[in-house]
Amino acid sequence: MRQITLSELQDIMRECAGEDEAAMPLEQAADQPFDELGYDSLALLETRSRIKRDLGVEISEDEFDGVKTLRELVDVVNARLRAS
Amino acid sequence: MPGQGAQYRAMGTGLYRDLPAFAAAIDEVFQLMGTEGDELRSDWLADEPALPMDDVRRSQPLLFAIDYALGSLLISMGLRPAVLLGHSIGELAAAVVARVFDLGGAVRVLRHRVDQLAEAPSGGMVAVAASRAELAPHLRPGVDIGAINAPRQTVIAGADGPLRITCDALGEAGFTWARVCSLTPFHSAVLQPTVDAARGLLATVPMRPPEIGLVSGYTSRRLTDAEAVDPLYWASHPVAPVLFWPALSALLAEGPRLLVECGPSQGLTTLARRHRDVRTGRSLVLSLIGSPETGPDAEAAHFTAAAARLGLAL
Repeated sequence: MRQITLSELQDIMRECAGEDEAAMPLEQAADQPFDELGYDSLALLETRSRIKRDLGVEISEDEFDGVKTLRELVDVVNARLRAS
Repeated sequence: MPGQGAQYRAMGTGLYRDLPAFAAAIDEVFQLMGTEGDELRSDWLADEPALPMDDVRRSQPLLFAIDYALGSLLISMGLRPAVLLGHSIGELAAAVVARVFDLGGAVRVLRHRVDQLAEAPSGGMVAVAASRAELAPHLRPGVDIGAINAPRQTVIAGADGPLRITCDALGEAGFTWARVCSLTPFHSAVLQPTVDAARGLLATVPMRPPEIGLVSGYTSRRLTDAEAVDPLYWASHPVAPVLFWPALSALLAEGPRLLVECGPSQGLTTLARRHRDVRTGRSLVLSLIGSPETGPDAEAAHFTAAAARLGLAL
């Protein structure tokens, strides 16, 4: 069953934002609020769209608004993947 | 210093109420605007403003006023900025802080611009999660690049019809986009008619070479003395794209910096966090007011904490 890792999600988000490589250790980045990683509302919108396109997981706008960190997002996506 | 897109209801009103030094600085701007300034202040502070904040008659003067007031306040508290960078109208505020314009001259330029823009065709600005190169094939006639905010964040601008058609095409092609809060198509050819009139006005406004370094959002390098006193340079701002990311990159290439968002919201510091120099911790970011979520009641505390990090106290 498909599950994504923190690292894979971080890669998706970095590609959405156009960053060439991660600078902060993943363990540290995982719990930072998105805006502290440079991800504004547009980058999050793009991430949501990529998750739907690449993983087939659709997360509602409301649910997405409630997600504040990479770790939380991975958990939400994986729960969805397990349920499908 | 942020520009259009950074505005939100009641921004800075907490500082106005709780920090007399900020109130004094921003009141200078309102005073220079005469009765319009009184109206602007009242509407800004009102529970139910008559005009929405996204209207150019509110967003532009208030962004300018708050950016200027914060910059002026920090300097009066002893800060010596190494360099200034303004986004859109933020650059006019930065120019006053750098003493290119005196406040009165800049307010004349601002008022003239707002009057012109209020007459301009309505339109908008849209931020697209794409690079300029990715976007280019999809731009329809009448839509221009308004800003390069980040490697994959490009703002496009145009009149309502062409903008809608372009956004539909972008959506079809799989791009993610979101409207920037503006009812005016800033940084597009739609506003070309404002340039000549502004040039005429600017020829009557005293300008001096900057006393504090300014990185131009339009040339993406240090503003030269010749550009600083050129009416056409300033008059062209409403039609020229804001090259924020290249300007930011040029600024950071000069050396490690503490970047201070000298205006409402955290839009510019959030973008800056995507820059390698900030991500690696070589340069740092700090916001002065916070974001819409901060709320007016918490603004003074946020500002005071930020000032303390800069080694300043009121």
